[in-house]
Amino acid sequence: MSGVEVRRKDLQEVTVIYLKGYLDAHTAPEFEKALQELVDQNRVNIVVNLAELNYISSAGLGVFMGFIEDIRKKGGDIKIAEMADKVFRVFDLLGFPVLYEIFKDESEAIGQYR
Amino acid sequence: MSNPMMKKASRWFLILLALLLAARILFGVFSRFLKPMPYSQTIQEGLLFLGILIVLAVLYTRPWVKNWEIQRMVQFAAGLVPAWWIAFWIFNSSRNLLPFPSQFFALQGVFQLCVMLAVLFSAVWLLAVLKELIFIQRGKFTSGCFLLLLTGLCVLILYEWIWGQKNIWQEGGWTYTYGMSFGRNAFFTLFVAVSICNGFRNKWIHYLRKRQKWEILFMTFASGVATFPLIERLPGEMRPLSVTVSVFVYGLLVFWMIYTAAAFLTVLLHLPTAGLMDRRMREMSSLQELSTAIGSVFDVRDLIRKTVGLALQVVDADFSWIELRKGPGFELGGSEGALLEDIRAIPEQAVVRLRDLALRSDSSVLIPHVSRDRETAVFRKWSRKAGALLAARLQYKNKNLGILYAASEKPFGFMDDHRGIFRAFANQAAMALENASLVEASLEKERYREELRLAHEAQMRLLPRSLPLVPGLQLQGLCLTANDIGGDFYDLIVPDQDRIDMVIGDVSGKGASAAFNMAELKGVIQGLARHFKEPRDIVLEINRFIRSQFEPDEFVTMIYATYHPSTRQMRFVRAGHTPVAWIRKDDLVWLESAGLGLGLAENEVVEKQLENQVCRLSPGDTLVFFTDGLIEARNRADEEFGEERLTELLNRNRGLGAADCLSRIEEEVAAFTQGTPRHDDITLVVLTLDENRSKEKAS
Repeated sequence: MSGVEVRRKDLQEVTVIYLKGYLDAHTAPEFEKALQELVDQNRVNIVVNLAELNYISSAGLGVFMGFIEDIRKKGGDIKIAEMADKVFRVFDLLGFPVLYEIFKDESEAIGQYR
Repeated sequence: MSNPMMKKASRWFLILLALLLAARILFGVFSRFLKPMPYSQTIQEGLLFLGILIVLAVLYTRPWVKNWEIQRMVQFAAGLVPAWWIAFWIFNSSRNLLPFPSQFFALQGVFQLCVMLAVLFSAVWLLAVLKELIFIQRGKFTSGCFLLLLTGLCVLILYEWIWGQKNIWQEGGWTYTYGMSFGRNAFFTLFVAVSICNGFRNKWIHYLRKRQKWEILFMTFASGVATFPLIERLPGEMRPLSVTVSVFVYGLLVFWMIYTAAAFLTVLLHLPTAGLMDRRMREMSSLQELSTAIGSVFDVRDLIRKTVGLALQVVDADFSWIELRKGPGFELGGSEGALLEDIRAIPEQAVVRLRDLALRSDSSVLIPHVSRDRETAVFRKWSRKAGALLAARLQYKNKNLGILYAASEKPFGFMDDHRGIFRAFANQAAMALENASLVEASLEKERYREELRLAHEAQMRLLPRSLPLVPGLQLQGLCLTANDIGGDFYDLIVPDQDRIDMVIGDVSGKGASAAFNMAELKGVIQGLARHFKEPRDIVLEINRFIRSQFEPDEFVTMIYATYHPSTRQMRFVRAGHTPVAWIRKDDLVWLESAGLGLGLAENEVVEKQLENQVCRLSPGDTLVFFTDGLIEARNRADEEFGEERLTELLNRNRGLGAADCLSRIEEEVAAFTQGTPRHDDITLVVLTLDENRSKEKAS
């Protein structure tokens, strides 16, 4: 299984993180690192674009949970955009749509912060 | 003397000596009464010569002195000289050290013979030791030259024997006269020449330490001075006893004198460079020690300590320190000869300058005189005196690991030739450091693997060992663990006679922490099952527990089901878990009620999400509970097993019992994955309602 690629795009208020590949227990630390960096820099308006994510394991989902409280306390949020159906199925089974706002479109998600 | 040949030879030698001694005693005792026997002396000499010849042959062909240190060999040889002086005084006719009373005069002869044999024996040992010294780092002609020396000794004896002496019988005994002759001088001159040839074969001197050289100088001088007066005297005094031994000892003393003189001269010539030689030796041994450390020291801290310590020796520095690369900058790794605080006090400007030079240089950087160097003159501001500086980068392939520094308090404490060795040393150190950090990383991995193994073991132990027997109900469970990470569990609890609880879940997290969480959960669930009736209540309690005990990024997905055999009613909640397949006579229903993973939110949120699902089972119905590992199982083409394949599989295999159903799923998944390593646990629990029992009931 291959790893995950984490890219980051800084807009004015919002930061978009692009995840590509497989997010599992092995690769979760990379995503964790990226989120930690954002929290440290106080850039807490985050959109995670999962358009190119093939797979997410429970450890990968755990990363969202690990940061959301902190980020929301700071007045920010994590919004999730452009999930593939297969990945959405995992989110959905777990009940994530209750906890996170999920959007079809990245720009729509970004728009939520304005 | 482990050599069997040697043993044989020495045994023969001893026998020979014993025979000689016996002959001599007889001769001595009876000489008063017997007529002079002119040939008895000749026989004795002949035997002695034969003995010496055998010993020399053995000496030449076999190693005699083994594993002696050079120093010890020289000490032994020099120590023989005083012993010979004692022998001389014993033989000395005018001032006898041990005068025998006249009535035991005959015994004195025997005693002197013994002493003579001891001198002969020691002389042979001296020769053996000298041979060892000569043969150290032998050249092409060493062996031949030494053979020539031995031959020369024999020739001297033979010449003396045949032509050199005139035996004159005077009243009471034999007297000998010997005078100078051309032949004698010629042979002697040749012998001296051969001795000189052998005398300068003293390569061992090169490898001595400076202090040892001084010792050798003193020893050779003293023993030379002591030997010189002995050369003529000892053999002269022994001559009446045996010409053979006398000449042998004479020749050997001459050679010893020459060898000593040559050694003295050589040491004298080597003394000025002795310090340099010592330094080279230290460099070599430090380098060697470091390469040994590469193979044995895998702790990075230890290795740094060792490196800075050896760096001191290698270039004879007063203090040394090491900087390790950390991210874009450098971090002080360790120091020797100076405190870390001292090193930290170096003006930043100076360090940066030196670091720059070192990083850019392929070799090492030498600043012979800090004060005269414009770039590093700042070092003068530093509290520690640094006269000369050396710096080399620690480079392994294209990776820079840090920089090694050495400083001498004396200006010009380092010369240009220190640069090469410092570079070589830094290269070795870099390799060692890289090695150690790799080993450390792999140890870390090993520890992680071990932790995982323990976690698996714990996980397996947490699974129910045997499934409860419930009349009319077939139950089968299976958990296939992944090689790597998994947190699957299932449990079956029978809280009362008309109720069986089934729980299947997946704990997020890795290795040991997942196993711990699972163990905790199992206990909690076992307790809750006995206190609450509704799955929903139980799950909410579990959520409360997880929220308070687990880390924020840890959560659990779970299905909690209670089945009442009397009513065939199954009540369950799905807390974010994969749905349940309900296989009925004619169709397959996926039970996927609304729900939320446990630990993701507070109870108020979870409460709103959890949907209670109730279904009434019919005889022959099968329920399949599983974890996401089943539908996410991958084949070599990286395709997932998926829900569709599972649905199709279950449809195809309806009507099997729980055990068959479970093994059919296991087989088909195995056929699909074709041995691709599992990346997640696969857990399956199959529950089938007996058809027979209901029929019995009906009839």
